[in-house]
Amino acid sequence: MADNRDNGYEGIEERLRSSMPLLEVPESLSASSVAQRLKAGSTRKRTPIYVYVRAAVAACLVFAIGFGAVMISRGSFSAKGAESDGYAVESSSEPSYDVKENSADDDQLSVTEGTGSDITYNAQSGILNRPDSGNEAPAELALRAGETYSAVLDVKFGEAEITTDSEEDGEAVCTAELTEEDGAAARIVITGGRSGTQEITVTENGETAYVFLVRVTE
Amino acid sequence: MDPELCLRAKQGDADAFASLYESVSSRLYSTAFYMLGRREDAEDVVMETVTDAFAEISSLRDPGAFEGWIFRILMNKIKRRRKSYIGESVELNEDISFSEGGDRDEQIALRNALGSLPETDRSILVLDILGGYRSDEIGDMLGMNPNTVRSRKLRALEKLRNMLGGERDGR
Repeated sequence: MADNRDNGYEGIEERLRSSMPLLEVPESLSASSVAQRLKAGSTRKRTPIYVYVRAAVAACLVFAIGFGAVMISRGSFSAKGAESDGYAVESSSEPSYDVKENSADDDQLSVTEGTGSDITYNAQSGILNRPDSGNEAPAELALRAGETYSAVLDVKFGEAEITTDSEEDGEAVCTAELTEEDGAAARIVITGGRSGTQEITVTENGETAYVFLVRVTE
Repeated sequence: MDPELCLRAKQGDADAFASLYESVSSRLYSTAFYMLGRREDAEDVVMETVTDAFAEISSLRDPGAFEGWIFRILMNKIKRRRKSYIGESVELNEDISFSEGGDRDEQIALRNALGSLPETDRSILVLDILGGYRSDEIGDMLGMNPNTVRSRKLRALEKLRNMLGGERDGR
């Protein structure tokens, strides 16, 4: 059941509840119709076109990872393959990185530590959203104190702002700032402070563009 | 969720699968409708979800996870379907039933306000308010941290309240 906490929004929640009644399922979706369709096999899946598209994207990423290896040897990483899909990721850390489709969500690309690794949320790793997807799932970052994460975002520098969730007194879990890139794009730079978790939201003209959930360990 | 039904469904029993589906069908369909705003598209994505779920249910290890699992499939279908809406405006005022005794104008305003929220915020509110799911369950369905779900829900409610004229609760 839903969280039953006194959050000060019970009134608006109740109004929403009354405006969204549970709908009656149409006959075509009734359990008996579904059972008949499944038995008849009329819903047998065909290979959808996006499977082929994804395969093509994966092939591009293999090339991108190869290119990324060159960048790693210089002590930095740039996900050029990802950039061609609308964004780029960079890290100042030394370990090798892998860029691949996130198995849990094909709208996201994961930056993972260690080639071929399935570790998604590791040091200096994160997920950035494909900007044109409308997907606003948060990018989860794990940083050590003093470590810095940086990424070019698909927002305009002059129109973007950073907001953070409430912080406890004292030193911030992390600091975040936006800097201007060529073409007036914005680069976010997040630096780990003390242990804890903090959410950072990047808005563009007041609309949420990215949400980062930053976990810092010392 | 009945483990016996789940076992039979995993063995390809369509009737058993349909029984499992029946327990969540209304919430699946309602969620799809309030996310997409089109009756036909809602029917399509639910049917696609059912088809995929039946084909893949053998991979479901925990019968108790059926509901979250099928909703996860649904939410991915919805997300994919919404991509085809780029540039189109969809309002949630189709000829669906309104709550009896409610203020119809208020319900239309609420639905439009909900429809103007970013997709993730709308998903969270629909799953929370319509489905009655907890933050951790929604987080599992949407691939998000439960804390993020909670904070985004509150922000979404604040946005709605501002959009609806900044009326305070308890009006």
